[in-house]
Amino acid sequence: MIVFTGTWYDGKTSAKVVAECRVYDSGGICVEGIEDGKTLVSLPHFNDVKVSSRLADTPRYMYFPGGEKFETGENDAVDRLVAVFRGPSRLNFLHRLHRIESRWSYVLLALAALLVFLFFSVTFGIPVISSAIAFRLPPSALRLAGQQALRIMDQSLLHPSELDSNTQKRLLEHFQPILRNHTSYYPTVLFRKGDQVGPNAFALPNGMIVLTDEMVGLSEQDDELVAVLAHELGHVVHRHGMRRLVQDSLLGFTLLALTGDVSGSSELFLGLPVMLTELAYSREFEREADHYALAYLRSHDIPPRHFAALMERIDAEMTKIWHTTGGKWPSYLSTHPMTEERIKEFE
Amino acid sequence: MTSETPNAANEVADQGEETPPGKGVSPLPVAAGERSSVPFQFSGSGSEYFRIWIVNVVLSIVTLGIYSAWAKVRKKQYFYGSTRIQEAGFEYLADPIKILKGRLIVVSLFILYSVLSGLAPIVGTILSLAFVAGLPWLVVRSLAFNAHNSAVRNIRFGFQGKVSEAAKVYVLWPLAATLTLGLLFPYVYFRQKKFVVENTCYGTTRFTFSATPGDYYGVFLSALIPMILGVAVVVGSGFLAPPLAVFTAVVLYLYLFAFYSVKSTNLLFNAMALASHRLESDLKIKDYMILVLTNTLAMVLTLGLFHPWAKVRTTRYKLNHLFLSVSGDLETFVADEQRQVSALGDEMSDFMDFDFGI
Repeated sequence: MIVFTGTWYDGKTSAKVVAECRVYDSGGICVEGIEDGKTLVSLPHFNDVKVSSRLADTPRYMYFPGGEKFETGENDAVDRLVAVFRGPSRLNFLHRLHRIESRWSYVLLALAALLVFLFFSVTFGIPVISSAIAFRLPPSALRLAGQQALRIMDQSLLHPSELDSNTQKRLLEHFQPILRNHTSYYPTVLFRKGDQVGPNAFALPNGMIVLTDEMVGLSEQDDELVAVLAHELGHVVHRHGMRRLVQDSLLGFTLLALTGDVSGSSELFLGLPVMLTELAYSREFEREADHYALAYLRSHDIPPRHFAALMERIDAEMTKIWHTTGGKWPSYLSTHPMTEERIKEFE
Repeated sequence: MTSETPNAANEVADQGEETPPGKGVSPLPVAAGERSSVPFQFSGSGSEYFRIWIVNVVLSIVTLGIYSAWAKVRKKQYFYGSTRIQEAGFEYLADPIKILKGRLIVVSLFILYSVLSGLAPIVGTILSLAFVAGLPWLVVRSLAFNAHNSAVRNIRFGFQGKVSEAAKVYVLWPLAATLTLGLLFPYVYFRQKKFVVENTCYGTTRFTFSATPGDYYGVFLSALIPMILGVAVVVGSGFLAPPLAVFTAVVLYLYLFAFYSVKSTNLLFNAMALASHRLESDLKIKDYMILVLTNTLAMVLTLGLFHPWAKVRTTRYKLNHLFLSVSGDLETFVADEQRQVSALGDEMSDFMDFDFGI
């Protein structure tokens, strides 16, 4: 006979009765009030009672056919009963779960599996899925995304260009060959005054490329800007804009699924790992765009050195500004880190 | 429907006669009107929840998301079961299969929406409008599903809000607030809380809500002062040294987050009562700020693995500061046996997943 104490609720009112549950070797089960010894329920067999599955050391609930409930903290006694009367074969999946959850060896195994999974999805799964999605998007979606991005940038960051119309015309004419070579991506070049973003260039998903006045000002030859265009067109051809959008939302979604928490505080928690991963993705895109630019420049007899020269000049300019004003421009280089290794490729 | 309520009441009376009061181990009966402050107890531990969480996550991944419905139930059962009042544990009774169905419906609707709006943007717009129109219904279903599947002392909670009322407080009033440049937002917030609390019941007894719109304006206005002062400090330190501004901005964000969470949680609970029993919450801004700060730092240092501990710590802090001021005893609530939450809509309701109360 197994005896344990708990509380009895009849399911009709919230009245609590401190009670004792007795299960006989025959399987017969009865619950008695401790105060008055009055029998609250008596059933021929334990299997007529539904038992909640064990979850850590939270209270166990036994549900009786009449809607009554016996609540007890004596998890081990209930486990013993389940094992005796339902047998190992009747141990359902949820009962087995508790055993997995209560052993650190399984838990550490699960942790290792999770880390391996995270590593592969971040380095391989998410980028592959994102590019699969980005390359299947209809042109209308790219157009919409590009227009919206431009509108937001025009409102918050960029100002109308102050380049005179002759310079603009000259540059656009000089850009004709490279733009014509990419007609299937509908490339257009826009000039804007960068102000706080300084010498910069952006590629939008719809093929629009924004060049800032500051970038044009730092170039000494128009071919240097063609090299920048080649790099930005690399972003367009590889659909980096859309891929980044999909990647970032997939990444956010993955982490949300892991923590299952949408509250503001968890955003705060997850900010850093998400940011670091996004930076890694962004560097990968830059490498891809570099390779595209290199191949294009070489095949069209434009010295790749132009790109490196312009980047080095931006770098020098940034250092100067940093020293004189304490740094104001987040440079093109902070998103396009010009490592020695990258410059070497363009030499 | 009405015929059974008196029966239930009779049984309370029967039991009163059969159980001699004040004998044996049961607590001494407290005369009606006498108050005692009963704490909520939380016995959850971070390392225990970590094990449940990691198994949940891994099984959800292995089963391509199917297990996530069971994971949700297990997580809620852990937090409910670890919460006790006068030794009685809370219970989460939702059927994982129903939650799974809900998730499948939501995912297929989302795919349908993405495909259709990709093909014809106008269809996407129409579907978005249909979603807004259906939102009040979803909110009500979700609140009802959650409440109906929560129980303590073998009596379930319930939710009886009307869809038309939900449409007012979740769609029409927010619209009006936007049109008045946000001046009405505290009032809208008040109406939403009032709607949720007053339509929630424990058994057949409804909760009451005693806060006024003025209380909510008070919270928003009192947040304005630290906000303005804080922004001034951030801008000022920005002139002194830019890195200092980043630091002060983070502190300000943290403070405002803690300020708002603490004030609104305290206001909500302190205004809630069930029959003559009142809830009392006394969270402190400083404690909560330290809690959020340490949680955040630990999360960053462990790349998110600290999450289960953070969740347990936050829950424990909130419940350690929540009391039920009991007048008399908690023995006489009557179950609402007639009200069954219709299966229709349950599937969808998990989508909104408001967590009410604990």
